[in-house]
Amino acid sequence: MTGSEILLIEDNPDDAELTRIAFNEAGIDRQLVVARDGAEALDYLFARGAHAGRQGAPLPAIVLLDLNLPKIDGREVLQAIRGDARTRSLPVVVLTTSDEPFDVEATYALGVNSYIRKPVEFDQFVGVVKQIGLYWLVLNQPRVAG
Amino acid sequence: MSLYQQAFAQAKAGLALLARDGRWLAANTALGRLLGRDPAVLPGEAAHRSLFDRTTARRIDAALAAGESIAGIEAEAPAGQAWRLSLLPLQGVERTWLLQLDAEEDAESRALAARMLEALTYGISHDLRAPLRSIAGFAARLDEAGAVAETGRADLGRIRAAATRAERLANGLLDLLRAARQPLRRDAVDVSLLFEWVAGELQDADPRRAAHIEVTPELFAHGDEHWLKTLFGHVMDNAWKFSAIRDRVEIRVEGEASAGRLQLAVHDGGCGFDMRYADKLFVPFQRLHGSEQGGGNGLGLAIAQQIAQRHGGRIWGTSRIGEGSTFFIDLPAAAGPNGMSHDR
Repeated sequence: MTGSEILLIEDNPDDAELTRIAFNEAGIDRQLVVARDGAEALDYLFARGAHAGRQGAPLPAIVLLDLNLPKIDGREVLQAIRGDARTRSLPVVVLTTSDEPFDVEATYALGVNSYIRKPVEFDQFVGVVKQIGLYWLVLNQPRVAG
Repeated sequence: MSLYQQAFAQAKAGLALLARDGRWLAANTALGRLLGRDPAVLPGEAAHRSLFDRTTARRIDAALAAGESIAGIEAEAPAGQAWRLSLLPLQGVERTWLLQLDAEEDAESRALAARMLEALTYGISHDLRAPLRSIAGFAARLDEAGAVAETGRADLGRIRAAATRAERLANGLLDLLRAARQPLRRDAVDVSLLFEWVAGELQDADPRRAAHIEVTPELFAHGDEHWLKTLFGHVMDNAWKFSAIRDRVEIRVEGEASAGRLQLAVHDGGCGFDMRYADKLFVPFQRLHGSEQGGGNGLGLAIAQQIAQRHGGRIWGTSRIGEGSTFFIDLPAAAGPNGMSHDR
């Protein structure tokens, strides 16, 4: 079951705050849940550990994933999401700073839906967030059964 | 013996001249020493086919046939020694290549250098950009929220502009590092189309600027479309920027294909540069113009040269101060689509 919130997996608090501001400015008023590392994100998605109380709660509408994360990095998070029947068709957008061709190639191979580089310029960043919101939260028709 | 013959004979690097059909025309003493042969017996035949491993020999033949260069690959002798080998078409001399052989450096230290370069590229791409985004983002936020008094807004503007410059610099460094290392695709590339495309982008970025850009149609090169567009982009960007002193930007792109090479000339009517400093044009971070004259981050032409050389080509510039500049680019030519050759 898919809910309405956005899960942002991001270890840099500045980037998390900027993303929150960008969603605000883009006029997207979904709840933004921030996971600080890969382990926390997976606990949240699979309702384990500190998030065991989420058992039966709906999955986020979309996951925004940074690649360079402490403990379990973004590629491993993606692998875990695609490797579990419950989260296999969850939309995952890599939203990261790097545009290394190697990263792009590797994450598409792991089944990411989209790869977007965060622009440095704030107005451009707001524009990018607006488009992500429009595409994944409005236009895109999610799969009903997880 | 001419001065040049003497220099060739005495050079420390192992050198040989090769004809397009693979025949060796000359070899110097250092090469003879590296190969353990008398350099006088090497010319006359395609000596590389018996001296090096098969892969290397084939690569040399392929480069000769395609008019391309080989940049520092590892070559092996049947006896197991390893060398570093490069092959460059001689500029201004038709169908002659210069082969250079150096004793191979320690493989381990080279691998280490490659890893460091990779880490550096990644560091710029990720770790340097992230704090820049914080600076640009929060400064924009302060600016838009009206949290700063009028007196401080000019300073905020400077902070935002500096973050943008630093990002361009990071992007330039990445392009320079990638232009040197990324594998190139080799296709027939529509050079005229790429120049028109770049011209369109320049006009779009500055729509109110009067400009007249003329591109000779149907020019084709053999190379990597992405990188060739980057190369032309930097040359055109300079032509555009340094025309700031004129009412109208005037750029003319001309080209001609002959003997398998495409010679391009990009003329502008801009402020020009002092030919005394022409050797600094292509050195990273060496600028001939201050930022008030339109000078950029000092990487554009270094990237352009890196790309031209990776294609076995060359770029150079001539200028008269106050009258404009011309940049020449030499690249391997290609036939157009459907095998339609440009030099009919």
